[in-house]
Amino acid sequence: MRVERLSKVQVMTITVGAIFGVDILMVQHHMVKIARQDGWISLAIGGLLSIGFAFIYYLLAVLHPDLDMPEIKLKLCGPFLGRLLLFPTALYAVLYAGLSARIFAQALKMFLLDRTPIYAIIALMLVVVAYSVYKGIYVIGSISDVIFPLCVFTVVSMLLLSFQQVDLDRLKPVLFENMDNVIRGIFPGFRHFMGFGIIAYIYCHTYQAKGTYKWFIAGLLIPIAFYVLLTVVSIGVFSVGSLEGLIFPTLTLSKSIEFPATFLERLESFTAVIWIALVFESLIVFFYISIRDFSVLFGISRKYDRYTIIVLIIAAYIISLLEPHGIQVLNYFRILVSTYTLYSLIIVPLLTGYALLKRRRSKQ
Amino acid sequence: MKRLLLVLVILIIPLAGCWDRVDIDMRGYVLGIALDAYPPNPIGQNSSEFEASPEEEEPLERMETHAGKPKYAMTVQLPMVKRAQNASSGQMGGGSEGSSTWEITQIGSSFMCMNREMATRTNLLMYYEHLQVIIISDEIAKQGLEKVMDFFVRDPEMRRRVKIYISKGEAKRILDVIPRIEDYASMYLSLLPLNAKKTSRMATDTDLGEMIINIHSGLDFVLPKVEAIKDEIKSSGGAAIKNGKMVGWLTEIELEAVKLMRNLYRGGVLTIKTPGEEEGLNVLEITKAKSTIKPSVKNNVPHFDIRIKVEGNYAEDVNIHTHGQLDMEYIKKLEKAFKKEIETFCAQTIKRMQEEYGADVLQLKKVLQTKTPAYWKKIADHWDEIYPEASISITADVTVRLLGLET
Repeated sequence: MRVERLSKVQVMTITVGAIFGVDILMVQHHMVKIARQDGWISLAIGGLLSIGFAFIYYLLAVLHPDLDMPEIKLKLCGPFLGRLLLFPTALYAVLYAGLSARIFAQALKMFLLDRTPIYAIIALMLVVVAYSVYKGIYVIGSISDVIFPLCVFTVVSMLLLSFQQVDLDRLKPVLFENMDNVIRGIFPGFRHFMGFGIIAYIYCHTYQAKGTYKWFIAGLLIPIAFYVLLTVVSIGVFSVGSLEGLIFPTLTLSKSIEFPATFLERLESFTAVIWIALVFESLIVFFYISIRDFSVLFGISRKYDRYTIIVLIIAAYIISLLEPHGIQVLNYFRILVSTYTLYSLIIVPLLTGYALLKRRRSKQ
Repeated sequence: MKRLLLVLVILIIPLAGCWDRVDIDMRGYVLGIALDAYPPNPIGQNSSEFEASPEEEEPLERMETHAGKPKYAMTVQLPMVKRAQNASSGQMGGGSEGSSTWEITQIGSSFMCMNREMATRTNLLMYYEHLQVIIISDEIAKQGLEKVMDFFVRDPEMRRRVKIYISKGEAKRILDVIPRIEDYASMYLSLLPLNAKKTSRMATDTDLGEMIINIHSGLDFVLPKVEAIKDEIKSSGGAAIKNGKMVGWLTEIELEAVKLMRNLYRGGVLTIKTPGEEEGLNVLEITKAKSTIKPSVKNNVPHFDIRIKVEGNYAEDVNIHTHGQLDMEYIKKLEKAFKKEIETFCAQTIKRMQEEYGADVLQLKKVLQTKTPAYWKKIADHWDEIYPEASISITADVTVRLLGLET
């Protein structure tokens, strides 16, 4: 019997944490490269589509209220096929965590800790992540409770303070002979919200009360709104030409804010501190996913979770340092998320459809 | 007990302190940068018996380069905090007669190299997070701004809100000035644009970020001009930048016109000859100005209709006596005269920009791109030829709101 229970609000905060992460630093750059000044439209459409797919995930979780995603896969597809389907997800989560940690360290080195070696930044982060994950999903819920309001406050403040620099003409012309690019940008826009899949891992740990779905969707709508607004503001402040060349536009945006009070001249330091917390939350969520996936994949009992954590943390640490070129890490990250998004778009609806079919048959 | 020991051992690690810790007095806080072409060699203006002559300094300013000939001279202004402290507490000694800043000049081919070469001449670590201003000599600006700005945009320590100025002549001379009411020329220049609310003769919104956006978007623009004498700095007028290169200077009134037409006007004063009077002058303090530019295409030639709405307060009359005479009829007459004046100097400015410089400092290109994208697509490649021929009409509308304390 499961003892730990997550509240409805925690469903929202964990979903927000799973979607945010290093993406919040780069989302505008990706979208503008594809759809130029209309990048925000692609992102908004991608976000709206993700709400539909989030429902499919939620449905799958609701159909199996006592199981999480890896257990559902095994139950629906049997031990062999189930494990076969589980392996890519498990691998994805650990690769995502490793590459995220590396991108996080690169950005932090650029903006805050210029003399701290990348390996030290990643190691310290992963040690804290390991400890939090070891404490279980309930602690992860509590951590996200603390980080969520700080994150909302920081992003909203940054958007408001940047707004006076926005030139809305830089968003024009809207949709002029750019439909192809806007359509091309929908999938990359969609993939930024793939973190909603966390619901299939945490639903079985919630009270499963009425209204959980609303809080889950709220957890998806907040990142959609923030990402779209960040993209609009960044295009308005930097213009498409400049934005295409910025690797971490969100940090550059916080660095561009002109504050009348001199003591707040380095406002980006505050942003960076909150952002460290955001990435930390995203990492613990993805580590939790990878631990659950690997534990079920190899049939490891929960009492040996600590050993799984140690192995996966070491694996993620090695992955994070394997590629020497910073720019290549960003490419790998993009390819990884795109591949996993495609995989999920095919597998999860099939699983949900099969689960519904099975249920109907059993009723009959 | 074992756990307690483990916690204690782990706690020892953060006791070592932050990896990036640098003592505050070991940082060289760069307040301003001056970029000059080399040669000529920068020459300090406030040399005293305590300072080396330019000839003595030159061997130190030169550096070996891996690639490229030394083409630029970069001067950074460092506050000498200890000397400034001594000066404020009255404990002057040693080089007390010198300034409280140190302007280090380095000659080289790349700015990153010059920056690092400076570490051979000072024990301080150059730190650019508090950089206030970059002054670029007109010689460099004429060669092309994009060529020299990469380091200042790429380096994570740089800030996009750093003010940019174009100096008439040597840029280093500006940093050498000790303003009468500030210790550092850089701080002085960073605060000067705040006065744009009071005078329209200086350019606004011209920081590093805006400059780079304009260059990346292929837009022409204006940067503020700065010039200096021994103990005074003046920023008025501007440098017209076309395709990233300076093509000429704008007078103060031309800059005023550009600001009015581009919606950059924050406040200022307008003087006209009193209608029907030989000697009289009337002065309007402009409190609000808003402009709109509507593009249209006539016979395949772009036309721009610029409308400027100005509001202000009657501020002064000179050489005439108007005491008790400022009635509605007189105000209407003045409004017409102010309107005519605005339309005239704006039209003259446009004519000069089109015919002499070919610089689209009003950014009419952007207006076409955003408001008539289909037409823009057709002419995008030929804009430089089309712009001088474009027809532009200006209509001003002036309202005098208040009259001061007298009618």
